[in-house]
Amino acid sequence: MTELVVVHRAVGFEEFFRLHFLSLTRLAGLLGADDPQDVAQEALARLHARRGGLRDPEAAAAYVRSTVCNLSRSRLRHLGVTRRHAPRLVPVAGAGPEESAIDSDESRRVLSALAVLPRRQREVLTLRYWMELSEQQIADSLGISAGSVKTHASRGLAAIERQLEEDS
Amino acid sequence: MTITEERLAAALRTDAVRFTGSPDLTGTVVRGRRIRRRRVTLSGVAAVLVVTAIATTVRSATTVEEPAGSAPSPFHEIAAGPLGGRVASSMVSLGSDVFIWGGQATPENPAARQLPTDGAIYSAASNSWRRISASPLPGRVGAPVVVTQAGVLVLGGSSGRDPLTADRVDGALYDPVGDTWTKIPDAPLCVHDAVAQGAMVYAAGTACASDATPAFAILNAMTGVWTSAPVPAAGLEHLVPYHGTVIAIGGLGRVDELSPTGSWTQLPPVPGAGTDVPQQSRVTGFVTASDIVNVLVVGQVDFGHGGTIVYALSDGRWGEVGRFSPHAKVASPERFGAPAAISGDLLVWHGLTGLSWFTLTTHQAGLAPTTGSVASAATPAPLVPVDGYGFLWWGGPTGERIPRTAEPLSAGTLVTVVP
Repeated sequence: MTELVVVHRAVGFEEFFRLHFLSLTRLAGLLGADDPQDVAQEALARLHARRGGLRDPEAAAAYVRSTVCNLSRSRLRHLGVTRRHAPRLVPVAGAGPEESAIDSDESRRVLSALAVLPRRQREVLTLRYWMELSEQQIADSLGISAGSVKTHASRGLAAIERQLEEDS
Repeated sequence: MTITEERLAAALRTDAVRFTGSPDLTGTVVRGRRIRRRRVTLSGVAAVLVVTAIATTVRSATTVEEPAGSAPSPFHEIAAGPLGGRVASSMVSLGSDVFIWGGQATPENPAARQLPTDGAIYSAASNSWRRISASPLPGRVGAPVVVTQAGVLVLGGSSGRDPLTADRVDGALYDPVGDTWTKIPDAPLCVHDAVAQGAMVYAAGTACASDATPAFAILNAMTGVWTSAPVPAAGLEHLVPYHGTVIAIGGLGRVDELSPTGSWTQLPPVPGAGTDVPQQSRVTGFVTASDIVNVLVVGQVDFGHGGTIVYALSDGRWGEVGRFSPHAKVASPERFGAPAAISGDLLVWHGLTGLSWFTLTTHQAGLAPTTGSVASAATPAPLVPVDGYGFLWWGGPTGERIPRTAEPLSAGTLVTVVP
């Protein structure tokens, strides 16, 4: 989570890769990418392809986060077009062994409420509460203003709260 | 943290655990090199054009652009040409060449308005220009131009008294091989829009005596015979080739297809159009791609979405192709003439802050900001597809508004977007 933010100054690509691969994969997964590992690898490959891509590790981290967000949306869009419906972000009960990690109704209800939020709100909340990024870091990653981040976060949280109240 | 925030953080932590991966550093490095190699290769392809890849700006149909400066500019200034600066000229793609004729040279001063009658062809392959022979047509503004089996047809347009109102009925065919012009019989209407399918040219406009009355006619460009046809109920704001004939799409999204017998059949309306206040639900930009989708419609404002939605019509059904952020909101056709164009599977359109693009096959999307690029000066110019090279912007005013504020440009920009 926070390891994406705290980057060693003299980091090389290999170190950067090892530091971020898993968290980027998980970010892609939480954002609904159909192949999170591939998304993470593509983001890191693009960073590798950039000249001076690691000169500023903070910027590099923001860049790969941004790329993962964009690619995850792209995969979602692709699925949406080809399957004519968006993939579920939250698995249904018993849908597969990999989903057994969601082991409580509590988590399931929260994630269900998150899944139906508008895309931007979902991204902001995931970056905020899973990656623990600051508003400015989220703004940099998503290419929006810090004010928009605040708005999306508060609206998203309010919507989740409403949904959870209705459920209970 | 509130209770909701804590519950959300806990749920995300729990869910994240199920996503694991096998780190493949070597594979990633190889992939990165491939991306870089592709960029380098592309940048060395053209002797004159610097073809650059902006693969790192890939984003989805709903995305906002990636960090600025992450890719080289896709805008490349082309060689200076023989034509003076102008706006609203007739431009059409001839493959990797672009035909340019007519237009208006002094947009800011109606009293001194000049309508040049010269033209030229720009060749992207050699980044060079060649003048074309003198046209038998008087100068005009915004004349439709289409490529037919009989040659390049320029017809209709405005005499310049009111640049936004077509009042001309005459036209001529240009033969790019022989560099000759042939006049055609006058149209039975004042032509403001036309599309071609083979030898047939479908022309939309108004009855000249009363410019408010819509009119429609079909020309066989091989024989020069005009046939009047009924006006579609949908309206004539947009004509688009479709299945060997044309469809007409009205500003509020109604759609009619022209049958071989010359009558119009109603098709499903463009989704979302006409359901909001008119200004937010009007249909504006159109492009076509016969090998991938039949018709694409780009909403001007967004049909209430906040950005742009692109729809495709295939086999009589509309499907949403992509949704794009407000940054990619398609620009007004009043400013840009042709706000969208397609080449291969690449759709591009003028957005609020730059050129938005989207690939129909891989669903990659992005935005190339024009600010600070050579394209920024010529932003309000139409996009013309150039096979194998991207899109050409040429001409247009230097200011923000057509047609009043600034001197017209004679410069051009070739846009090469490589997803």
